[in-house]
Amino acid sequence: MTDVDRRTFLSSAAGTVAAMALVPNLNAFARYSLNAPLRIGVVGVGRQGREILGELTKLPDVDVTAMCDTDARRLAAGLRRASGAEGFDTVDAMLSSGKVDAVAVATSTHTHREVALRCFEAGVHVYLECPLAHTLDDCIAISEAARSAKGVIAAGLQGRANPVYQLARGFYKTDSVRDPVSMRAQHHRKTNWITPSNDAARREALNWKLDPSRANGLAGEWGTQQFDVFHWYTGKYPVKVFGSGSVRHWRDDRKVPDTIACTLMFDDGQTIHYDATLANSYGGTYEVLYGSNAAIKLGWSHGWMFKEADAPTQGWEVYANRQQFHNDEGITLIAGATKLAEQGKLKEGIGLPHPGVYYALEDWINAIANNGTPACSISEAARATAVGIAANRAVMNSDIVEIDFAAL
Amino acid sequence: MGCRFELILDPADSPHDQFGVEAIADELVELIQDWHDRLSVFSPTSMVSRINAAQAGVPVRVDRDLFELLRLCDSLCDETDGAFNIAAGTLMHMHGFREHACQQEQPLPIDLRRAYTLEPETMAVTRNHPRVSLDFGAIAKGFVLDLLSHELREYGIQHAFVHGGSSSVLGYGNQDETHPWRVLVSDTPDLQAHLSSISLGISEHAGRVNAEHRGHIMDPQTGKPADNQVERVVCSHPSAAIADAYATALSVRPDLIDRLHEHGCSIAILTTNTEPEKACIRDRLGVFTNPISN
Repeated sequence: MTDVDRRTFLSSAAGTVAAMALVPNLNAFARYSLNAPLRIGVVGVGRQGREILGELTKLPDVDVTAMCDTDARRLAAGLRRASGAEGFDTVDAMLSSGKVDAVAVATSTHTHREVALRCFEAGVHVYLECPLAHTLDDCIAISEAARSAKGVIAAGLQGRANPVYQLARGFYKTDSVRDPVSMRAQHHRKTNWITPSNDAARREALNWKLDPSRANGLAGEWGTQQFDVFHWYTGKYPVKVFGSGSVRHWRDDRKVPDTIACTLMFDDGQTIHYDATLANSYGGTYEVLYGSNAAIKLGWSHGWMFKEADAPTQGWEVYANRQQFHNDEGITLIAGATKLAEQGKLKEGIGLPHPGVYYALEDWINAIANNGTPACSISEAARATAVGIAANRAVMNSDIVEIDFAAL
Repeated sequence: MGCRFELILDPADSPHDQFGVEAIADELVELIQDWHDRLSVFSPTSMVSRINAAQAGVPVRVDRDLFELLRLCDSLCDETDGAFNIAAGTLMHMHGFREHACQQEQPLPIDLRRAYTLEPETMAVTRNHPRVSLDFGAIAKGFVLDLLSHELREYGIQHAFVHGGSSSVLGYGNQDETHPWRVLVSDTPDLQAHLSSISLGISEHAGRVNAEHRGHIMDPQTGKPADNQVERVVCSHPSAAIADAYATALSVRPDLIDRLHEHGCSIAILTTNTEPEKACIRDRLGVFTNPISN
């Protein structure tokens, strides 16, 4: 997830509201302890897979022993990132090698079903990237198979394991925002979504995101992650979605819009306004929950609360440090804020030291070590994926689509 | 690294259209960001920070790419009699260039030539003293440019120009049909480098901390900032990593110029009182224009 532009955000805040940086008391080290290193295999070592590889090397008691990719060039690049790992060109060969206790799946979305089901059958622990699938049928198949899987199965909806999001959710749940008003999110990043290759067949295989039959566009690939934040905070799911989209910049005959807008509607009248574009990066990626007392803005590595002038002061605020942001005075919630002030770092704010996927992986391994439950289950991810699939259908048809969870 | 990189990719003579080349540029930027995240001493979660934070004497396993970089650094340290040494990060701490207060009166904790140990069998690195701090700042940008050069070759790009922080430069292919990539490396004296599939490393004293004009480039042998009249070193070599490392070594030990020149590079050393006729140039590769060799 990309960082939100904090300065832009703060400078645009109204003069009557105060900004609080919500920063959790982060533990420097992972929470778990394993008796023996957990042997992990990574399936799919493209961009996301390589990020997973990089984060796994930071985690204690983890040994990346294997990786798998059907693309030889990617596999070779992946193997350079994990000393001692063995490479495989099929999932079956990797699973039958006896080299892995757990598998992180980062293949293209339309292949998740096949890979996930083989991993479930093999009885290994599984971390499955989200969205879960590109069709409802695949989503249902994965969800059903996960119920009888032996290992710890985690879905990669990263907000749920993100310490900033967990902390901010605590404020949301304890009525800091008061009456929920509306929700808004965006994903802005200037990139053409093309994976380059000299070879036409390989280019076709790698560019699945630009093929409507193999992917769900921006609403599915990014929206699913962001919609789930709202599901998790509110405990509710939208019932219908209106969408539209078009190609605004990357006019290379693509069939997938590079710019979309959706409105997701709940049965009580609340809405999520969502827009995403590959043509402009302003503002980055964030979600905002507006309430009558405050708004919470979440930017993956940072989170803030903006209080209304008439909102009551809460007890913890007296312990918080104050910062000046342009015309606004902010209240900073940071563990060890006094020390940071002495180091001259307070004004820079504090973000998470790791990317979101680190915390999702750490949460999964923690659940394995403690025989516990991961932050995001497959059934929750299936519902979020269904919302993303419906939103993409609405975008592609410029229509209103009812969201049906009955089969999940 | 923590600096601005700029890339110019020319689709001419390549198998890619404009969109494909933009996608390649995106991939290259991600590669730069990835290595910044791994090599930055300012990020507590980077690989190098984890090496520096590990208990002395305890091996830290690294991946193949990073281990190859460590081995390259080791060999460059030997080639330059220790004038280039990634363990000079220890001195950056001692001299107040990091978050710690200046401790320059303290003796060197260890001979920096023996500051760390590499174990090829396990691809591990071990710091040999708690105060040893590794810092890839003198080679990281060049190393990344070499990786970019490899990627450009893989993608069939024929002509490109990339620089990192203006001090590490890759001229890949040519600027156009008749001209190599041209870089002004000094205006007094007037000196240009013409790059045709070759790299440039520029080392310049900066962050001077006192009236003695001592800069941020450390002499790993004395344990102090390099104390000489060198203002700027420009080194050209097919490998950007080697060009960077040689440029740093020559900032510390300008007397190495003839030896390193024999290793297949062009070198220009400009001093604080350089007059055009005083620039010290060895141009084995013929990259410098208007060279006033002495």
